[in-house]
Formats: sequence, C-alpha cells, structure tokens
Amino acid sequence: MGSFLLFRLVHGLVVVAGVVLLVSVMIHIAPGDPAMLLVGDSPVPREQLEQIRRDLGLDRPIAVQIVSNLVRFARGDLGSSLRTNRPVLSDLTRVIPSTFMLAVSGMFIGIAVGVPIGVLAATRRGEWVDSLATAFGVLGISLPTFWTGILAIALFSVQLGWFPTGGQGEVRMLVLPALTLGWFAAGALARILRSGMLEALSQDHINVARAKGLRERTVVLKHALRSALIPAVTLVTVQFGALLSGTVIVETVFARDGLGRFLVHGILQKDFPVVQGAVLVIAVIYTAINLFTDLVYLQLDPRLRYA
Amino acid sequence: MRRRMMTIVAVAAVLAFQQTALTAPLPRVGGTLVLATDEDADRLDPNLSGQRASTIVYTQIFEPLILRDPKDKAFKPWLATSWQASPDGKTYTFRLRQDVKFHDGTPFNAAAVKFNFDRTHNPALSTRCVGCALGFYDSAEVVDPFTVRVHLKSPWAPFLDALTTAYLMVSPTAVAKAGDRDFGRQPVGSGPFRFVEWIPNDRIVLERNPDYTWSPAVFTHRGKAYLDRVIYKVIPEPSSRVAALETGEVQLVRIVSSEDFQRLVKDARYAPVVGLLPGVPWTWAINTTKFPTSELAVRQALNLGIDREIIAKAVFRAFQAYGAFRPAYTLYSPVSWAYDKSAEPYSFDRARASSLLDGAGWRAGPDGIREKAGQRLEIYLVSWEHGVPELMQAQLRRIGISLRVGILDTLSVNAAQRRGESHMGAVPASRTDPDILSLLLHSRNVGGGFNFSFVKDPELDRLLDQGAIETNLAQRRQFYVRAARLAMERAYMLPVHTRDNIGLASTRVQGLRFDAAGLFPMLHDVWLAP
Repeated sequence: MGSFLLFRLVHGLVVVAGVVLLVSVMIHIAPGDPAMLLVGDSPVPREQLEQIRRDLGLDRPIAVQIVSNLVRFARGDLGSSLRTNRPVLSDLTRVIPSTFMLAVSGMFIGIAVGVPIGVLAATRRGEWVDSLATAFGVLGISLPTFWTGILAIALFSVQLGWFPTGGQGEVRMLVLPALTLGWFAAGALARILRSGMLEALSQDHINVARAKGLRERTVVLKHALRSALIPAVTLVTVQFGALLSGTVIVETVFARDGLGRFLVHGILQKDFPVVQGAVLVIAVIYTAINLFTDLVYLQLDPRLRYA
Repeated sequence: MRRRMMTIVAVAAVLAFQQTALTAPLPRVGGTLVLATDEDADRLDPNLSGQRASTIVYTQIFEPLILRDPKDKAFKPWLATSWQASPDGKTYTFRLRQDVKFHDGTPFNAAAVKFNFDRTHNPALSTRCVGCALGFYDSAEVVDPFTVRVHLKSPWAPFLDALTTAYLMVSPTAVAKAGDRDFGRQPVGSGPFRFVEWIPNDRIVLERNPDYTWSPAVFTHRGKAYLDRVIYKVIPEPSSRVAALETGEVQLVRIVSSEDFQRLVKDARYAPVVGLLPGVPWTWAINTTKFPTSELAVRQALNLGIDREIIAKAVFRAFQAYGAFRPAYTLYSPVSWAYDKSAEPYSFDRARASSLLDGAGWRAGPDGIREKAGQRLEIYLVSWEHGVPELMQAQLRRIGISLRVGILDTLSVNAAQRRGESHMGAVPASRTDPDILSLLLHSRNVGGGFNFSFVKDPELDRLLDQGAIETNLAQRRQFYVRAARLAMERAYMLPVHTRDNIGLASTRVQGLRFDAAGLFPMLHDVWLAP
C-alpha cells in the first residue's frame, strides 16, 4: 500500500507539471494582444501600447516569455494578474472556497436526488415511476445549465421572490445555483445507477440472498446497491472534478466568484499568470480526485485488493 | 368685510402656493443605491487605469480639475477655479480651490496636482489611462501652494478635454502608504463618495464623504451627497442583471438587451437611462491594404450598399425611441461638436454601388457574387456581436458582395485585425474630443496601434495633426470636419449606427444625470424616493 501511494504521488506530480507546461505554451501562442484589451474599450496611441507591452514583457520573443514565466512559476511565485495586479495566490485562495462550496452543494443535491431516483427506477422498472425518473434524468443531462439557471432565477427569484438572483456570502444565495448544478449531476447519476442496479439485480448472489429469506429491501439496498455503486462512484468523482473546474456557467449566471470564471476570464484576456495558477489548481484537484477514487475502489471492490 | 375677504383670499393663496410647493418632491437624504455592472473594475487608480468598468466606479471617488458641463459642453471649474493657456499652447496654468481635502485628510494643493501628473506619466508605471497626454506631457511646476503650471513638449489641443476625464486627482500620501501597485485596491480621492471595500468580482462599496463641501457649480446642490452608500454589484449575465432589477436587489442597470429594455420600459416602476455618446459611432475599420477592399470602388460600394436605417431599426428599435442607436453616415456621432453633415457623402444607393463595381470590372458570377480576373468579391468581417453583421451580409449580397462573418471573442477579433486577416472589423470609440479620429486613422498608429484600416494618408495626417494643435475652437472644428469628409470620401471606414449608453433604472432613482461623455453617472445629486 505504501509503495502504491508513493508511486501514485510521483505519477501525479509528473501529470500536473506536464499539464501546466502544456497550458503555458498554449496560452502564449494563442492569438491576440493582451495590451489592447488592458486599455479597455477605447483606443490609445501606439507608443502607449508599446510601453505597456514592454512593461508586461510582451515585446520579447514568445519562447523567452514562456521560459521566463515557467521559471518564475517553478520558483513558487505565482505572479500577479496582468489586468488587476492582484497576486494570483490571493485570487486563488478567494475563489477556491467559493467554487468548492458550490460544487459540494451541487454534488450533494445530485447524490441525494439522483441515487434514490436511480434505485427507484430500477426496482420499478417498466412502470410509470421508471419513465418519470428516466425523463428527469435525461432532462437533467440535456438541458444546458445556462438555461435552467436563468429559468430558476425567473421563477424562484423574480416571480416567487423566494431566493435572491445570485451573489455570494449567504446560504440563500447558494440554493438556486446548487439546484441548477444538482439537477445536472442527479440526471447522470440516476441513469448510471439505474443501469448498474438492473445489472446487479440480475446477478446470482441476489437470488441467493432472496433464497436465504432476506427482506427485499435489504437485498436491494445492501447487496445490489453495493455493486451498482462502483460505476456510480467513478461518476461522482469525475463529476466532482468537473464541477470544481467547470462551474463557470453557473457562476456567471448567478454572479458568483469562482475558479471557473477566474480561469475563463484569464484565458479570454491572455492573462498568463492567472491561467497558469488556475490550471495548476485544477490539475492538482483532478489528480487528487483520481487517487481518491482508486482508494475508494479498493474499499468497495475486494477483488482489487489482491491484484 | 372687504378686509376679511382680502385676508381669506390671501390665506387661500398662501395655502395654494404651499400645496404646489409640497407636490414637488424634496430630495430625501439617505439610502443605498445599488448599481449592476457587467464587469469588475481592474484598478481604482485613475493615474494608471482607463477601463470603463473602473472609471464608472472611481469617477465618484476622485475629481478632475475641470469638467465639461453636460448641458452646454463648455469647460467649467471643479478643483481648479480658473485656468489659462499660453498663446503657444504649451503651458497651462491652473489656480486651485483651497478648501479641498482628500479622504485621508491630506490637503489638496499644487504639489498634489504635480504628483498626479508625474505619476500618470512615469514610464516605469506604464499607465493604461485613456486619453491622457502621453508623449506631450513634459513637467508640472508648483508656482505657489495653490497654483500649478503644466508644461507640454508641444502644443496639444485635446489637453483640456483630457483634464476632464483622464486626470482625476489621487491623494499622494495614500499612494506613498499603499505603494504604486496596490493603491488601486485602496483608493483615496477627494470626491463626494469614499471607498469602503472591494470584494473582487462581487461588489465595490462606497459611502458618502461627510466632509464634502466643494461641489462644482454643475452639481445641482451644494454640500454632501444625498445617498448614504453606493454599491456596484458585478452581474455578468445580462438576464440576471435585469432579474436583479425586477426583484429590487439593484436600482440601476447598465447594458440591457433590446428585448428586456422593451419589456420593462413599459412598466411604470422603471425608467430608461440614456447617455448619447460623442466620438466615433459604431464603425467598421476597412483594411485598405488587403484585396479586394484595397480598391476604392469596393469600399465605396460597401458604404452605399447597406441600408443603415433598416439595420438600426431591426437591431435597436427599442432604444431608438430615446434618440439612441440612430443610423450613422459619418465618423462623428451627431452629439459630437465636430459633427457636420458635409462629411456624409453616402446615402443608401444600390444602383450607384452596382455601377461603381461594374466600372471597376466586377462582373456578376454564376451565383450572383461578382468576380474579377478569377477572384470572387469576398470580404471577411470580424466582430464580437451578432445582429448588424448578418443584416449587412444579406444586404450586400444584393449588390453581388459575399460577406463572410466571423463572430469571435475580443482577443480573436483583435488578432484577426492586427494580422490583417480580416477585411473589416469593429472599432467603437467614444470620446468627447474629436482627436480620437487620429487614433484610428493616423499613419503613426498603424502596426501595433488602433489604426486597423492600415491607412497612411499624408493629407489626412496633416489635417489631423493641425487639428491637434489648433487652439481656436472654430478653426479646430474645421480641421476635423475636413478630416472626416476626406476619410469618408476615400471610404477608409464604414460607419453604421451610433453607439449609446442605455440602461434601466427604478423610478425610485431621482436626479440621475450623466457627464458630458454620456457614460459616467454623477451620483452626488442622486437620491432615492421611498
């Protein structure tokens, strides 16, 4: 176990370093002149733009810029945003908790709603409950979050006045965005669980359990669910990683600060330090989640322990 | 008896008068105004920043030396009580108010003004200020504690205009304390509102400056602002911004979509907020170095072949009822002082466009698109907004021009234009001084600057240069009128419609006015009805 962990940690480090390197190169060779964007919506003289480019080191050859940025990065200096001059580290420490809260609450709703619905659909297969649950799942996956988010605002904020239209700082402001994300997550989970359960319920060991006289409820929840959870766990962990980095749409619609928005704005303005810092965090998160998933697998599936 | 009647009449008259006086609402002191903006500020530092998202906020915190009166556009005193330009246009002397204090207690004086000018033009700080005298500023001199003299390297007529927008005064003590790079996060000015806090990407909170007694004559009342607090909330998604207005979370919204505007302006609880912008209207820069737009006939055909009335009405009808987003036929919007009808050589004329193209050898091909020597008349246009490009595409097809439209993010639009990959690209540019035209069309701004028409026209350069140093207003105006006319005759650009500042406010918001630039609300006189 110890050597396994060590191996995985080193492996993770290599992956993260590779990702950061690749993204750094990409953001530098992407088209566009950040200096023109930094002055805003109004033109300025060329000499001024050249002064700004010099200040930001944009007049150097691209290769030199990439190397110099990576060296600075490797030293542990995440730099400052080209746009706001705020240290990237302080931006990251601000946005990560915000995104984390959103992702966790979205995931929580996804699990709390998706798992029961998936189980229900499997056990009542073919009945109207199944159709309803499947419809719920399909809609959740297919409807774009920018649409469901705006609908949620229109209904629950403007019409009913139950929740604010967005923002952060209070729990009330988290409800609508979490529901929007949650529906999406619940949809996928419900479908995976349904098929996982159907497969598990057709296995031999289920018949043995029934033959032993166990209650149906125990059969379903204790025995079938456990096998069905394995693919579901994969999905949850992958989704969580995706949620942590991909909440940009929900963050934009509900005016919340977060890692997704931070990264996207950084890309759209070629703000290199921002992009590098954000991608580093995301790469670490994904790698850590993958490691965590594998560890959970080892717990859930005894067959893997002796591999 | 008569006397009694007189008394009754007199009392009745007094009561009647009181009644009418009472029906005009008196400004209410207090309350918090929440504005929704689309983007967070970059730095609240007028010496070093110029982005609109920041200027909207810091024009309440910092003050200029002079301002343009929004009503008559003339320069009026603010922190400076009087000013004089030397006959050669290279020296400006300002007499300053003596009763002004920055929010940290530092007195405002000539030394502070000098500090601000020097800081803005410190090359080590690479200012991003928009419209400042970069390249012209030489030095500032403290003549006496409340008289400062600014020296320019060469005469620059836009300087007074720059003073109204690009040079707002910051507290030198506060900069020394926070450092140049960090001052933008802890701004200290002298304005009617002072900074409280900034939660990035969420909100910026300002509160009334209790010591404010130096309001300029242009403000409608003396003394402190009415509002207790002003909060700028960042809501990037347009529908969410409008939703926040409808729930009452915000009272003023910038940048509203045409559909939302149309829906809410009919509601008695909301009123439109309109700022007509001077400067260059929404205009496409036409790449004069790339075939086929390198041909004059093609560029002129473009100007003749689009129906601006229909385009503006189709995309912006809801705003037109308020005088905004009108068709534009020249390079200055109608509210600019350099605007002149003589600089509008083209109207919508398909026949003339076609005959120009015929005369240049462009014959209609099998699919209706014109061809010449095996080349199709294909033009690539880049923008970041839908609407106008698609309408133009349909209209230009009728005269045999194929318009390929690329709707991209701002970086890619910028890249396509800089590399000369596109034939036409968007360059909106509002400014109160007409010299803005030189940023778009002067040869020195080609290659790394904003001249995306890649125009190097000595005659045009001369007119723009003369306009930049001419101090006589009437003559100055003539230079720009002639420059605009020349640029239009040679079809270096394609103006389409005016671009204005349209928003929505709750009717609780009273006393709201924009500055002469049409962009920045003057919140000192704003109050909230219950």
